[in-house]
Amino acid sequence: MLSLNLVILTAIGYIGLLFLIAYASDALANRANGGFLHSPYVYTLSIAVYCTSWTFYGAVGTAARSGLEFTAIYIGPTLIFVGWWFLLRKLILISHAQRITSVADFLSSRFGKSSQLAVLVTLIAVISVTPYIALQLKAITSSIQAVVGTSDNLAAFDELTLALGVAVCMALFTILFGTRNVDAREQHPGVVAAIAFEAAVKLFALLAVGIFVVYGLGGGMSKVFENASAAGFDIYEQSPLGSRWVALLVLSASAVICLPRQFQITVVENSNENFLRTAGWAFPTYLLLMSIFTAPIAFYGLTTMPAGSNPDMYVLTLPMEAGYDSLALFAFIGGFSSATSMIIVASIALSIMVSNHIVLPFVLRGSRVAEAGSDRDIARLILRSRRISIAGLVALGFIYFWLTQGSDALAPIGLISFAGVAQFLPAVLAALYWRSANLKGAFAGTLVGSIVWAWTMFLPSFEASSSWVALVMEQGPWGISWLRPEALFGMNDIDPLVHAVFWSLLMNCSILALVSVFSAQGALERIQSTLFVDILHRSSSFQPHTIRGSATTSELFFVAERVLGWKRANDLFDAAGVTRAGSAAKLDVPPEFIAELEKELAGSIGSASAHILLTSVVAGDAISLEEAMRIADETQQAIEYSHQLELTSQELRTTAQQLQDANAKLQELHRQKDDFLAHVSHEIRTPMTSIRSFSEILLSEQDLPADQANRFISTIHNESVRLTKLIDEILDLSALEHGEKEWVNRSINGEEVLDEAISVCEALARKQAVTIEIGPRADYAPVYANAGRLSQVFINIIANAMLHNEAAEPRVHVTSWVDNGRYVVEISDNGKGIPEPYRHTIFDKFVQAGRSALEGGYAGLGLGLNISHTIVTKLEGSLELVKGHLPGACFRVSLPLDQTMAEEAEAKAS
Amino acid sequence: MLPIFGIILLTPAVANLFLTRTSVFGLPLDLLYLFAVWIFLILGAAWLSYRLPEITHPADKAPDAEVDPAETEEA
Repeated sequence: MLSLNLVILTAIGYIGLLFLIAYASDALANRANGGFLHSPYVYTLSIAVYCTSWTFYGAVGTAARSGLEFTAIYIGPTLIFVGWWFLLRKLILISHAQRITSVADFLSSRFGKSSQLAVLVTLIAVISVTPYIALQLKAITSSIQAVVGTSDNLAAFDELTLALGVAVCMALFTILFGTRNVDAREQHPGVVAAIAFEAAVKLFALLAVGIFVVYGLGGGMSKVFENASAAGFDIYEQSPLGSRWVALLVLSASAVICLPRQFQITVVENSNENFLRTAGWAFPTYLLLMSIFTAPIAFYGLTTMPAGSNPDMYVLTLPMEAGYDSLALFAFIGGFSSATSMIIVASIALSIMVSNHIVLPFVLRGSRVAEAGSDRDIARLILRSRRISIAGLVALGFIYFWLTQGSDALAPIGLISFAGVAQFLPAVLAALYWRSANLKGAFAGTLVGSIVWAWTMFLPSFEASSSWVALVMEQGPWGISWLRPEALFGMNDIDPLVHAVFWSLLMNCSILALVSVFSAQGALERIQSTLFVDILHRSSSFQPHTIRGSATTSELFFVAERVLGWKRANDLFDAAGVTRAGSAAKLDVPPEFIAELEKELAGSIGSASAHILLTSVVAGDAISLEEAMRIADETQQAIEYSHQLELTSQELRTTAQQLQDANAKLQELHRQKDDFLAHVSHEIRTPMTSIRSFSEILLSEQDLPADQANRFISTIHNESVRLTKLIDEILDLSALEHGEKEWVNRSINGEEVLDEAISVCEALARKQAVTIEIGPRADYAPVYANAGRLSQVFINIIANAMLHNEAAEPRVHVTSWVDNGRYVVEISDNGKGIPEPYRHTIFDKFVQAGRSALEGGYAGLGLGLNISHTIVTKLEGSLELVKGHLPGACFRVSLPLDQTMAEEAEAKAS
Repeated sequence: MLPIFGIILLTPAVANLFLTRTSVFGLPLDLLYLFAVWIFLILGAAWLSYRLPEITHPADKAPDAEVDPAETEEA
């Protein structure tokens, strides 16, 4: 037996040692880059805060009571850490990017920086962790009792007083070290170092006891099991592993992520993502070492200790029974350190949550901090609220301990906490991987899940101390039996733990999923969800500006100074190149800096509070995100509208251009008409003048010689013929241009028409002494045309060739062929050809190339070729001036063949 | 892949195969099995921790970092 004084002195001395370590580490961390503190092994050891006194003492108890179950509590976290690449890596990257300070901050930040969700999560965390803190107090007091035994000294201290003393000590230590300053990222190198030290202490203590018991007392592993078996204990697992085993794995796996203290150590205190690489295997190894001797100690204790002794305390009582008091004291220190480390980290983590998510938003909403004259110092407020909440939390733990004194075993209390924080798991997983999960879903799911948990697990823990609770458990509230806490909806033949975990997580997940699917995300939520889910793919250049609008430098500095302190605020502003001196104080700061500042503040007071705080400062001219997005939408619409306008005006321009072209064409036509009229008048006037003068002579001179009179009359006749011909041609042209009623096309042989035209011209040829040469001819050329019109074209061209031929031996050459689906006729002469200036206008009206007064008999009017051209065009053919067979002009008529006729002809030919 | 292996090996269906009430080296087989799986997981994680690419900040992370060659090999 050890004396109480010695035990208490040892404990106090140990706490003093922790103080020293924490203080030295803080100094070290402040001075340089942290040295050995900044190592993955310190990080791994600090994660071992997972192993509380529940592990230290309770695991042996669990092993003694229910066999292999104790391993589940460690295998769950092992699975999570072994798979760090999937979950923890993403969690840590997001938290670093977003300056997350706690699990509540993580969830609220993901779901649109909602302060309601943060408050809910904080409350649940406080309620869940309270039993856990109580468990540590209980473990410490029981261990003191076990070590000291029933000596006289203890009479002065009953269990409650002891627990109270321990609680006060713990609260003091935590306040002194956990809340010395409001840090940038809520990292506490001093505390982490102390925690890592404690982790080493508890590992060595447990290993020492294990080795002593198994090899010193028991005579080796197999001997221990042999003896236990011989003493009538069943060393094998009695019942097959089942739903309880699975429930424990799930709970412990979720606890290692969601417990506020685990989140604090694993995520928030992590200074380098790559530490996970080591922790991924080192932490499971730690857990393995911690539990390797658990089963042998339990069986050895069961074998040797008197029946009825508390198996939770075998770690202490076995060495004491054997008379090794110093080893028992070392074991006590190990258990003590596991309990203290848990209380310290848990209360720090929770106090950060409480101050950031409950106290601060409340204060910020209550009063406009930015108002001049308000001398409230936010940093001091945060520290004070944290200190108070640490004291409050430890007090809550103590009260719970007080209320539930009846329960003996440690493990059930721990499991209540695990199941409570497991309610965050669906929301955390959704936050990491499900883009459309939203605030309403997360809030509703977490709320309902924790209500079910409180009803089915938290409430029953008071069964022993409250008769009302016992009654409710027995009969259900108001006698409604299907609402009984441990038999919800009539599910009553199942382990209470499995029952509670099943219902709470089922409700939680399904409500989260359903509400998320059926409700919409807010604007900020949408941005945050992308930031979270796509953290691994996001490029750093994408920086959302969560607060738009502007604020003056002095206002922002005022806020920053209060939260961060003058020095850090100054550094921050200097680093960003924002000057505050003189007139610059009134200038606006860029929105990028506001976003940066918000992140920095979020590192101290949580994202929701930072958002509220900055919004209140920028409020004067700030616009809400929804508003900004609406404005963006409107801008988008305006851009689209102006784009449409541009298109319309483009169309208008095109139309105007077309109108202009049409107008020019009309004017051209108008000019042509005038020219035409002028020509016609001129052409008519010349014969009319001669007719009139000759007829006047005939009328006035009655005694003209007969031959002269005859000559005059024949001139008048010739001129009349010419006039008639002119008018015929004009009518013809007009008919062609305006469409002719009796124009009927039919299938004809082009060659026949050409032959006919040549024979018609032969009379004229004889008269003019022109030779018509017939070149190679196509035998058969079916065309779809009007025979008379086509003949007119040929006659006109041949006649032109003969009439305007001034060669000594005038010749006209006619040839035709069928080529590529077209019937081509070329008529050439050996005259002087068409002079260059007329080549382009030869087919226009009244154009006569090289008109000479010497042309006898027949003078052209300049309409023939125009008429021919019009006709050929109407027959879908072409009339061109080409270089031909003879040196003079050569006209080529080309007409499309009539395909059906051509095929028939071919068929006939074959 | 490693945690999935672990989960499969630790489901009641598989783990219960070892509840044979026999001893190996004087230790219960079921206990040995659990610790064996545990050690296997740790060794796997330790081996992987040297194979997986360095965690970098997302900005300069290679896009194929998600695909883990070591793990596909293992599977």
